[in-house]
Amino acid sequence: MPYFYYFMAWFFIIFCQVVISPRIALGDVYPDIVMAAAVLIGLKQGWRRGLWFAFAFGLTIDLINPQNYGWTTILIAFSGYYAGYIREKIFLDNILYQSLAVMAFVLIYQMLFQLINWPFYLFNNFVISLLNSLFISIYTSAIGLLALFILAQRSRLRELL
Amino acid sequence: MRISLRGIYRNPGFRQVSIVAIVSILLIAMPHPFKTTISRLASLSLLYPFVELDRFLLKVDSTFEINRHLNRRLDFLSTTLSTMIENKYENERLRKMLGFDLMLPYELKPAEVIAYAPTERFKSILINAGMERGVFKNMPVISPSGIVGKTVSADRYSAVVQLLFDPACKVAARLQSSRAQGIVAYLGGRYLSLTNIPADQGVSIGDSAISSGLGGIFPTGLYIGQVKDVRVKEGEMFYEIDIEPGANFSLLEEVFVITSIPGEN
Repeated sequence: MPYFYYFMAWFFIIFCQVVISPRIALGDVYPDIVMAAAVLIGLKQGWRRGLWFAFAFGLTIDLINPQNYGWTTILIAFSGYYAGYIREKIFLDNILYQSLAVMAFVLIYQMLFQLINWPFYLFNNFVISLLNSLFISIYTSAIGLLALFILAQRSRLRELL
Repeated sequence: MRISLRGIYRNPGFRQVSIVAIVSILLIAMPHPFKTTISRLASLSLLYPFVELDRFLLKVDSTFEINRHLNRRLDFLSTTLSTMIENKYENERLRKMLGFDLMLPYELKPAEVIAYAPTERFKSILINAGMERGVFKNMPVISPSGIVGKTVSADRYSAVVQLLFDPACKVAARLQSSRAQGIVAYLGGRYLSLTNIPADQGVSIGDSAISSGLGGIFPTGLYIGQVKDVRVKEGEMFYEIDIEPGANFSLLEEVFVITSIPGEN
Protein backbone atom coordinates (compact mmCIF):
# COMPACT_ATOMS: atom_id res chain seq x y z
CA MET A 1 0.00 0.00 0.00
CA PRO A 2 2.72 2.58 0.74
CA TYR A 3 3.98 2.04 -2.82
CA PHE A 4 0.64 3.26 -4.10
CA TYR A 5 1.07 6.45 -2.06
CA TYR A 6 4.63 6.81 -3.35
CA PHE A 7 3.35 6.44 -6.87
CA MET A 8 0.63 9.02 -6.24
CA ALA A 9 3.18 11.44 -4.76
CA TRP A 10 5.44 10.94 -7.78
CA PHE A 11 2.51 11.41 -10.15
CA PHE A 12 1.36 14.56 -8.35
CA ILE A 13 4.81 16.17 -8.29
CA ILE A 14 5.53 15.38 -11.94
CA PHE A 15 2.07 16.66 -12.83
CA CYS A 16 2.82 19.91 -10.98
CA GLN A 17 6.20 20.26 -12.70
CA VAL A 18 5.01 19.43 -16.23
CA VAL A 19 1.54 20.93 -16.21
CA ILE A 20 1.22 23.48 -13.41
CA SER A 21 4.70 25.00 -13.32
CA PRO A 22 4.57 26.58 -16.84
CA ARG A 23 1.20 28.06 -15.97
CA ILE A 24 2.36 29.76 -12.79
CA ALA A 25 5.66 30.95 -14.26
CA LEU A 26 6.52 34.60 -13.72
CA GLY A 27 7.89 35.43 -17.14
CA ASP A 28 10.93 33.18 -17.58
CA VAL A 29 11.05 32.23 -13.92
CA TYR A 30 9.60 28.74 -13.55
CA PRO A 31 9.28 27.29 -10.06
CA ASP A 32 11.39 24.13 -9.69
CA ILE A 33 8.68 22.08 -8.01
CA VAL A 34 10.51 18.77 -8.41
CA MET A 35 13.56 20.12 -6.59
CA ALA A 36 11.43 21.67 -3.86
CA ALA A 37 9.58 18.36 -3.41
CA ALA A 38 12.83 16.37 -3.28
CA VAL A 39 14.30 18.68 -0.63
CA LEU A 40 11.12 18.81 1.42
CA ILE A 41 10.72 15.02 1.35
CA GLY A 42 14.34 14.72 2.49
CA LEU A 43 13.79 17.25 5.27
CA LYS A 44 10.57 15.66 6.45
CA GLN A 45 11.08 11.94 5.80
CA GLY A 46 14.84 11.45 6.09
CA TRP A 47 17.65 10.74 3.64
CA ARG A 48 16.42 7.33 2.44
CA ARG A 49 13.06 8.52 1.10
CA GLY A 50 14.60 11.83 0.09
CA LEU A 51 17.20 10.04 -2.02
CA TRP A 52 14.84 7.63 -3.78
CA PHE A 53 12.04 10.10 -4.35
CA ALA A 54 14.54 12.60 -5.69
CA PHE A 55 16.06 9.90 -7.87
CA ALA A 56 12.63 9.05 -9.30
CA PHE A 57 11.83 12.70 -9.90
CA GLY A 58 15.21 13.39 -11.49
CA LEU A 59 15.04 10.33 -13.70
CA THR A 60 11.57 11.31 -14.90
CA ILE A 61 12.70 14.83 -15.71
CA ASP A 62 15.78 13.45 -17.47
CA LEU A 63 13.62 11.19 -19.60
CA ILE A 64 11.84 14.22 -21.00
CA ASN A 65 15.01 15.95 -22.10
CA PRO A 66 17.81 13.82 -23.62
CA GLN A 67 20.29 16.74 -23.54
CA ASN A 68 20.92 16.58 -19.78
CA TYR A 69 20.58 12.84 -19.33
CA GLY A 70 21.81 11.77 -15.93
CA TRP A 71 22.82 15.19 -14.63
CA THR A 72 19.39 16.17 -13.37
CA THR A 73 19.03 12.74 -11.77
CA ILE A 74 22.30 12.91 -9.91
CA LEU A 75 21.92 16.53 -8.80
CA ILE A 76 18.33 16.14 -7.58
CA ALA A 77 19.03 12.76 -5.98
CA PHE A 78 21.99 14.17 -4.04
CA SER A 79 19.91 17.18 -3.02
CA GLY A 80 17.25 14.85 -1.60
CA TYR A 81 19.92 12.83 0.16
CA TYR A 82 21.66 15.87 1.67
CA ALA A 83 18.34 17.36 2.75
CA GLY A 84 17.71 14.12 4.68
CA TYR A 85 21.26 14.23 6.03
CA ILE A 86 20.71 17.80 7.26
CA ARG A 87 17.50 16.66 8.94
CA GLU A 88 19.48 14.10 10.91
CA LYS A 89 22.05 16.69 12.00
CA ILE A 90 19.83 19.74 12.50
CA PHE A 91 16.14 19.14 12.99
CA LEU A 92 14.37 21.94 11.09
CA ASP A 93 10.82 21.77 12.37
CA ASN A 94 9.90 25.23 11.15
CA ILE A 95 8.33 25.89 7.77
CA LEU A 96 10.28 29.10 7.34
CA TYR A 97 13.65 27.36 7.83
CA GLN A 98 12.51 24.53 5.59
CA SER A 99 11.60 26.95 2.81
CA LEU A 100 14.97 28.69 3.28
CA ALA A 101 16.63 25.29 2.89
CA VAL A 102 14.64 24.79 -0.33
CA MET A 103 15.87 28.17 -1.54
CA ALA A 104 19.51 27.29 -0.83
CA PHE A 105 19.26 23.88 -2.49
CA VAL A 106 17.51 25.27 -5.58
CA LEU A 107 20.09 28.05 -5.90
CA ILE A 108 23.01 25.61 -5.68
CA TYR A 109 21.28 23.19 -8.04
CA GLN A 110 20.57 25.88 -10.63
CA MET A 111 24.16 27.15 -10.55
CA LEU A 112 25.61 23.62 -10.77
CA PHE A 113 23.24 22.72 -13.56
CA GLN A 114 24.33 25.76 -15.56
CA LEU A 115 27.97 25.05 -14.80
CA ILE A 116 27.63 21.51 -16.17
CA ASN A 117 25.54 22.32 -19.22
CA TRP A 118 26.59 25.84 -20.25
CA PRO A 119 29.89 26.63 -18.47
CA PHE A 120 30.98 29.35 -20.92
CA TYR A 121 27.65 31.08 -20.80
CA LEU A 122 27.74 30.93 -16.99
CA PHE A 123 31.22 32.49 -16.75
CA ASN A 124 30.47 35.17 -19.31
CA ASN A 125 27.13 36.11 -17.74
CA PHE A 126 27.71 35.16 -14.15
CA VAL A 127 25.71 37.97 -12.53
CA ILE A 128 22.72 37.46 -14.81
CA SER A 129 22.80 33.71 -14.28
CA LEU A 130 23.14 34.16 -10.53
CA LEU A 131 20.23 36.59 -10.43
CA ASN A 132 18.11 34.30 -12.58
CA SER A 133 18.89 31.35 -10.33
CA LEU A 134 18.16 33.48 -7.30
CA PHE A 135 14.76 34.45 -8.65
CA ILE A 136 13.96 30.81 -9.41
CA SER A 137 15.06 29.75 -5.93
CA ILE A 138 13.06 32.50 -4.22
CA TYR A 139 9.96 31.70 -6.24
CA THR A 140 10.37 27.96 -5.63
CA SER A 141 10.86 28.48 -1.91
CA ALA A 142 7.73 30.65 -1.84
CA ILE A 143 5.78 27.83 -3.50
CA GLY A 144 7.35 25.40 -1.02
CA LEU A 145 6.38 27.65 1.87
CA LEU A 146 2.82 27.75 0.62
CA ALA A 147 2.72 23.96 0.31
CA LEU A 148 4.17 23.57 3.81
CA PHE A 149 1.68 26.02 5.20
CA ILE A 150 -1.23 24.13 3.61
CA LEU A 151 0.14 20.84 4.97
CA ALA A 152 0.51 22.37 8.44
CA GLN A 153 -3.07 23.62 8.31
CA ARG A 154 -4.25 20.19 7.21
CA SER A 155 -2.42 18.56 10.12
CA ARG A 156 -3.88 21.13 12.49
CA LEU A 157 -7.36 20.44 11.15
CA ARG A 158 -6.83 16.74 11.60
CA GLU A 159 -5.77 17.33 15.22
CA LEU A 160 -8.87 19.45 15.79
CA LEU A 161 -11.14 16.78 14.36
CA MET B 1 41.83 7.83 13.47
CA ARG B 2 41.78 5.06 10.91
CA ILE B 3 38.83 4.99 8.56
CA SER B 4 37.63 1.52 7.89
CA LEU B 5 36.79 1.03 4.20
CA ARG B 6 34.77 -2.04 5.05
CA GLY B 7 32.63 0.10 7.38
CA ILE B 8 31.97 2.60 4.61
CA TYR B 9 30.95 -0.12 2.17
CA ARG B 10 28.61 -1.61 4.73
CA ASN B 11 26.96 1.74 5.37
CA PRO B 12 23.48 1.46 3.78
CA GLY B 13 23.53 5.17 2.94
CA PHE B 14 26.72 4.79 0.99
CA ARG B 15 25.39 1.80 -0.91
CA GLN B 16 22.16 3.52 -1.90
CA VAL B 17 23.91 6.72 -2.90
CA SER B 18 26.35 4.66 -4.91
CA ILE B 19 23.53 2.91 -6.79
CA VAL B 20 21.97 6.27 -7.62
CA ALA B 21 25.32 7.69 -8.69
CA ILE B 22 26.16 4.67 -10.88
CA VAL B 23 22.76 4.79 -12.61
CA SER B 24 23.18 8.52 -13.18
CA ILE B 25 26.69 8.09 -14.56
CA LEU B 26 25.46 5.34 -16.86
CA LEU B 27 22.77 7.69 -18.09
CA ILE B 28 25.32 10.46 -18.62
CA ALA B 29 27.67 8.14 -20.46
CA MET B 30 24.97 6.70 -22.70
CA PRO B 31 25.42 7.42 -26.44
CA HIS B 32 23.30 10.25 -27.70
CA PRO B 33 21.14 8.28 -30.21
CA PHE B 34 20.34 5.83 -27.46
CA LYS B 35 19.34 8.71 -25.16
CA THR B 36 17.05 10.11 -27.84
CA THR B 37 15.40 6.72 -28.37
CA ILE B 38 14.83 6.25 -24.65
CA SER B 39 13.52 9.77 -24.36
CA ARG B 40 11.08 9.21 -27.21
CA LEU B 41 9.88 5.92 -25.73
CA ALA B 42 9.54 7.48 -22.30
CA SER B 43 7.58 10.41 -23.67
CA LEU B 44 5.24 8.01 -25.46
CA SER B 45 4.70 5.75 -22.47
CA LEU B 46 5.65 7.02 -19.03
CA LEU B 47 5.00 10.69 -19.65
CA TYR B 48 2.06 10.19 -21.99
CA PRO B 49 -0.62 11.04 -19.38
CA PHE B 50 1.19 14.24 -18.40
CA VAL B 51 1.76 15.29 -21.99
CA GLU B 52 -1.87 14.59 -22.87
CA LEU B 53 -3.08 16.42 -19.78
CA ASP B 54 -0.86 19.35 -20.66
CA ARG B 55 -2.19 19.34 -24.22
CA PHE B 56 -5.75 19.17 -22.95
CA LEU B 57 -5.18 22.10 -20.60
CA LEU B 58 -3.59 24.05 -23.44
CA LYS B 59 -6.72 23.39 -25.48
CA VAL B 60 -8.88 24.56 -22.59
CA ASP B 61 -6.69 27.67 -22.27
CA SER B 62 -7.01 28.42 -25.96
CA THR B 63 -10.77 27.80 -25.80
CA PHE B 64 -10.99 30.32 -22.97
CA GLU B 65 -8.91 32.77 -24.97
CA ILE B 66 -11.11 32.32 -28.05
CA ASN B 67 -14.20 32.64 -25.89
CA ARG B 68 -12.87 35.86 -24.37
CA HIS B 69 -12.07 37.21 -27.82
CA LEU B 70 -15.52 36.29 -29.12
CA ASN B 71 -17.17 37.84 -26.09
CA ARG B 72 -15.25 41.06 -26.70
CA ARG B 73 -16.30 40.97 -30.34
CA LEU B 74 -19.90 40.28 -29.33
CA ASP B 75 -19.84 43.26 -26.96
CA PHE B 76 -18.47 45.46 -29.73
CA LEU B 77 -21.05 44.24 -32.24
CA SER B 78 -23.90 44.60 -29.76
CA THR B 79 -22.88 48.17 -29.05
CA THR B 80 -22.56 48.89 -32.78
CA LEU B 81 -25.93 47.31 -33.48
CA SER B 82 -27.58 49.25 -30.69
CA THR B 83 -26.04 52.50 -32.02
CA MET B 84 -27.22 51.65 -35.53
CA ILE B 85 -30.76 50.92 -34.33
CA GLU B 86 -30.71 54.21 -32.43
CA ASN B 87 -29.48 56.01 -35.55
CA LYS B 88 -32.24 54.39 -37.60
CA TYR B 89 -34.94 55.64 -35.23
CA GLU B 90 -33.35 59.06 -35.07
CA ASN B 91 -33.22 59.13 -38.85
CA GLU B 92 -36.91 58.24 -39.07
CA ARG B 93 -37.80 60.89 -36.51
CA LEU B 94 -35.73 63.54 -38.23
CA ARG B 95 -37.23 62.71 -41.64
CA LYS B 96 -40.68 63.04 -40.10
CA MET B 97 -39.74 66.30 -38.45
CA LEU B 98 -38.22 67.63 -41.65
CA GLY B 99 -41.50 67.01 -43.46
CA PHE B 100 -43.36 68.69 -40.61
CA ASP B 101 -40.99 71.64 -40.69
CA LEU B 102 -41.64 72.20 -44.40
CA MET B 103 -45.40 71.90 -43.87
CA LEU B 104 -45.81 74.63 -41.25
CA PRO B 105 -45.77 78.33 -42.11
CA TYR B 106 -43.83 79.25 -38.92
CA GLU B 107 -40.17 79.75 -38.32
CA LEU B 108 -39.17 76.73 -36.31
CA LYS B 109 -36.01 76.07 -34.33
CA PRO B 110 -35.35 72.40 -33.75
CA ALA B 111 -34.08 71.48 -30.33
CA GLU B 112 -33.18 68.35 -28.45
CA VAL B 113 -34.56 67.50 -25.06
CA ILE B 114 -31.54 67.38 -22.81
CA ALA B 115 -33.21 66.91 -19.44
CA TYR B 116 -36.45 66.26 -17.71
CA ALA B 117 -37.34 67.89 -14.43
CA PRO B 118 -36.09 65.24 -12.04
CA THR B 119 -38.90 65.53 -9.56
CA GLU B 120 -41.89 66.25 -11.77
CA ARG B 121 -41.19 64.29 -14.92
CA PHE B 122 -43.98 65.56 -17.15
CA LYS B 123 -44.09 69.14 -15.92
CA SER B 124 -41.06 70.67 -17.60
CA ILE B 125 -38.11 69.83 -19.82
CA LEU B 126 -34.83 71.44 -20.72
CA ILE B 127 -33.98 71.90 -24.39
CA ASN B 128 -30.66 72.69 -25.99
CA ALA B 129 -31.77 75.88 -27.77
CA GLY B 130 -31.50 79.23 -26.07
CA MET B 131 -31.26 82.92 -26.75
CA GLU B 132 -28.30 82.42 -29.07
CA ARG B 133 -30.62 80.59 -31.45
CA GLY B 134 -33.49 83.04 -31.02
CA VAL B 135 -35.40 81.16 -28.35
CA PHE B 136 -36.87 83.39 -25.64
CA LYS B 137 -39.47 83.21 -22.92
CA ASN B 138 -43.11 82.43 -23.82
CA MET B 139 -42.53 80.77 -27.16
CA PRO B 140 -44.65 77.79 -28.21
CA VAL B 141 -42.96 74.43 -28.31
CA ILE B 142 -44.41 71.75 -30.53
CA SER B 143 -43.66 68.29 -31.78
CA PRO B 144 -44.89 66.62 -34.98
CA SER B 145 -47.71 65.09 -32.94
CA GLY B 146 -48.94 68.25 -31.23
CA ILE B 147 -48.31 71.08 -28.81
CA VAL B 148 -45.75 70.27 -26.14
CA GLY B 149 -45.82 73.44 -24.07
CA LYS B 150 -44.16 76.84 -23.95
CA THR B 151 -40.80 78.22 -22.91
CA VAL B 152 -40.83 79.76 -19.45
CA SER B 153 -37.23 80.82 -19.26
CA ALA B 154 -34.26 80.89 -21.57
CA ASP B 155 -30.57 81.40 -21.17
CA ARG B 156 -27.89 81.57 -23.82
CA TYR B 157 -27.78 77.93 -24.79
CA SER B 158 -30.88 76.33 -23.29
CA ALA B 159 -34.47 76.94 -22.37
CA VAL B 160 -36.95 75.50 -19.91
CA VAL B 161 -40.20 74.33 -21.46
CA GLN B 162 -43.35 74.19 -19.39
CA LEU B 163 -45.29 71.16 -20.58
CA LEU B 164 -49.05 70.98 -21.01
CA PHE B 165 -49.23 68.76 -17.95
CA ASP B 166 -48.06 71.63 -15.78
CA PRO B 167 -51.24 73.03 -14.17
CA ALA B 168 -49.88 76.54 -14.78
CA CYS B 169 -49.78 75.99 -18.54
CA LYS B 170 -53.02 76.95 -20.25
CA VAL B 171 -53.82 77.00 -23.94
CA ALA B 172 -56.73 78.77 -25.56
CA ALA B 173 -58.32 76.01 -27.61
CA ARG B 174 -61.07 75.26 -30.04
CA LEU B 175 -62.80 72.06 -31.03
CA GLN B 176 -62.22 71.55 -34.70
CA SER B 177 -65.67 70.30 -35.67
CA SER B 178 -67.99 72.41 -33.47
CA ARG B 179 -65.65 75.46 -33.29
CA ALA B 180 -66.54 75.76 -29.62
CA GLN B 181 -63.81 77.59 -27.70
CA GLY B 182 -62.40 76.89 -24.29
CA ILE B 183 -59.20 76.52 -22.34
CA VAL B 184 -57.05 73.42 -22.21
CA ALA B 185 -55.33 72.92 -18.86
CA TYR B 186 -54.27 70.11 -16.63
CA LEU B 187 -56.57 69.62 -13.66
CA GLY B 188 -55.36 66.23 -12.57
CA GLY B 189 -55.89 62.68 -13.71
CA ARG B 190 -54.59 60.99 -16.83
CA TYR B 191 -55.77 63.55 -19.38
CA LEU B 192 -55.83 67.28 -20.02
CA SER B 193 -59.14 69.07 -19.52
CA LEU B 194 -60.94 71.36 -21.90
CA THR B 195 -62.99 73.78 -19.85
CA ASN B 196 -65.46 76.55 -20.53
CA ILE B 197 -67.26 74.76 -23.38
CA PRO B 198 -70.98 75.49 -22.93
CA ALA B 199 -73.13 72.41 -22.50
CA ASP B 200 -75.34 73.40 -25.38
CA GLN B 201 -72.52 72.99 -27.90
CA GLY B 202 -72.18 69.76 -29.80
CA VAL B 203 -69.13 67.83 -28.65
CA SER B 204 -68.32 64.28 -29.62
CA ILE B 205 -65.61 61.88 -28.62
CA GLY B 206 -62.76 61.85 -31.09
CA ASP B 207 -63.02 65.57 -31.94
CA SER B 208 -59.71 67.31 -32.37
CA ALA B 209 -58.74 70.17 -30.09
CA ILE B 210 -56.55 72.82 -31.70
CA SER B 211 -55.16 76.10 -30.46
CA SER B 212 -57.47 79.02 -31.07
CA GLY B 213 -54.74 81.66 -31.13
CA LEU B 214 -56.52 83.80 -28.56
CA GLY B 215 -54.09 83.34 -25.73
CA GLY B 216 -51.35 85.31 -27.45
CA ILE B 217 -48.69 82.63 -27.25
CA PHE B 218 -49.83 79.71 -29.36
CA PRO B 219 -50.75 80.50 -32.96
CA THR B 220 -54.03 79.30 -34.44
CA GLY B 221 -54.50 75.77 -35.64
CA LEU B 222 -51.86 73.83 -33.70
CA TYR B 223 -53.05 70.38 -32.79
CA ILE B 224 -53.40 69.77 -29.04
CA GLY B 225 -55.15 66.44 -28.78
CA GLN B 226 -58.31 64.44 -29.13
CA VAL B 227 -61.50 64.40 -27.09
CA LYS B 228 -61.41 61.25 -25.01
CA ASP B 229 -64.45 61.71 -22.80
CA VAL B 230 -67.30 64.20 -22.46
CA ARG B 231 -69.36 64.64 -19.31
CA VAL B 232 -71.87 67.14 -18.12
CA LYS B 233 -73.24 67.26 -14.61
CA GLU B 234 -76.86 67.90 -13.86
CA GLY B 235 -77.44 71.63 -13.63
CA GLU B 236 -73.95 72.59 -14.84
CA MET B 237 -73.47 75.05 -17.68
CA PHE B 238 -70.19 73.63 -19.02
CA TYR B 239 -68.92 70.33 -20.20
CA GLU B 240 -66.14 68.41 -18.53
CA ILE B 241 -64.07 67.26 -21.48
CA ASP B 242 -60.99 65.04 -21.28
CA ILE B 243 -58.39 65.64 -23.94
CA GLU B 244 -55.75 63.10 -24.75
CA PRO B 245 -52.68 65.08 -25.85
CA GLY B 246 -51.22 64.28 -29.24
CA ALA B 247 -47.65 64.61 -28.04
CA ASN B 248 -46.26 61.67 -26.13
CA PHE B 249 -44.46 63.42 -23.30
CA SER B 250 -42.63 60.36 -22.10
CA LEU B 251 -40.96 59.85 -25.49
CA LEU B 252 -39.99 63.41 -26.33
CA GLU B 253 -36.54 63.62 -27.83
CA GLU B 254 -36.69 66.44 -30.34
CA VAL B 255 -39.04 69.40 -30.36
CA PHE B 256 -39.52 72.63 -32.34
CA VAL B 257 -39.73 76.09 -30.90
CA ILE B 258 -41.85 78.48 -32.92
CA THR B 259 -39.65 81.57 -32.90
CA SER B 260 -41.72 83.73 -35.22
CA ILE B 261 -45.16 83.67 -36.74
CA PRO B 262 -45.63 85.38 -40.09
CA GLY B 263 -47.69 88.57 -39.77
CA GLU B 264 -46.91 88.96 -36.06
CA ASN B 265 -44.24 90.96 -34.34
